[in-house]
Amino acid sequence: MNRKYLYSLLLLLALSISGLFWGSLYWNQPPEKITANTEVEIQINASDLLSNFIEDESKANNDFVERIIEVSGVVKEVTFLNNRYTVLLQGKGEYACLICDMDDTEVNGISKVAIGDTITLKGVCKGFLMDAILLNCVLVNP
Amino acid sequence: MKRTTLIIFLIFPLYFLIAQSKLIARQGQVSFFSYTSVENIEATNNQASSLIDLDQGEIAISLLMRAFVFKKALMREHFNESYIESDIFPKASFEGTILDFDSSLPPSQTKIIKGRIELHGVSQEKEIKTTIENTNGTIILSGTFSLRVADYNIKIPPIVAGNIAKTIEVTYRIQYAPYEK
Repeated sequence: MNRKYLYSLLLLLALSISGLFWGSLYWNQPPEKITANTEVEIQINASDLLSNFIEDESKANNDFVERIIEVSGVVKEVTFLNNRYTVLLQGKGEYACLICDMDDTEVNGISKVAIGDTITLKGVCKGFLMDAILLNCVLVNP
Repeated sequence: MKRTTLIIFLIFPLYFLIAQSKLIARQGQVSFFSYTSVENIEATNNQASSLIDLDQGEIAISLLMRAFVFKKALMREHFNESYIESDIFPKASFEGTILDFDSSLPPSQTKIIKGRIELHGVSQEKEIKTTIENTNGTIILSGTFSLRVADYNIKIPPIVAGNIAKTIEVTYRIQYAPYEK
């Protein structure tokens, strides 16, 4: 086996191992988290966000879904269900509310939130069923 | 004045009864699992909405496909963009009737819900076994059922066919509260 052939074989092996390594990292990458430093795409209050979905859901889907939204509103309820904390922000009086599924890191912040408080949080909008839904939420200036 | 008061007293209990006969859930949990020898795929949605009419034994559930949470970003991307096409079909729903439903709500009853699932733009008849628990007035529906991917026109490219099970196991647990407008 000549030296040139051996070097080519070693290079190919190194490239394959490197490819597998980076491919595995890429494939196993966890979903991106929202943090205090994450840039916000839209700022809106909870009742306006809900009104947008109630008036024209299709347009609101285009405008808000999969966007990082900073939203302010009055706390209607805080729940701990299925091992997750959720803050429900109320609208202008309509039955619908904004369901904010809180990030696991927000346990301490959530413990200070009470019904009737006005809070600001940011999360990723997922759309509207009976209520609008935001996931991966973190409190802004808790 | 007396007549107005009488009307209020007559109507209010009726409204209360109607309201009590309906239950609502905003944070139902629905998970799915795909088991293959290559990899396991699992995702959970914690924001399923549901209504139950206790008088009629009718139930409706809906959920946003984009609200499924995956452990891997790429799995979520493939699920939403390539398989489920969440932009075109953002919601899945189930509407059905609980057969032989005991509306007196004993501590536990296991029943079959007969209805239709709408997923990826395809509507299919489905019978789902459910356990209905009543713990101090809190009603919880839970169970497991399976769905065949091919029944819902979900196209899996041949190159990843070995990674995704042909039959997906779905688990749900939905806790209800009285419906109050």
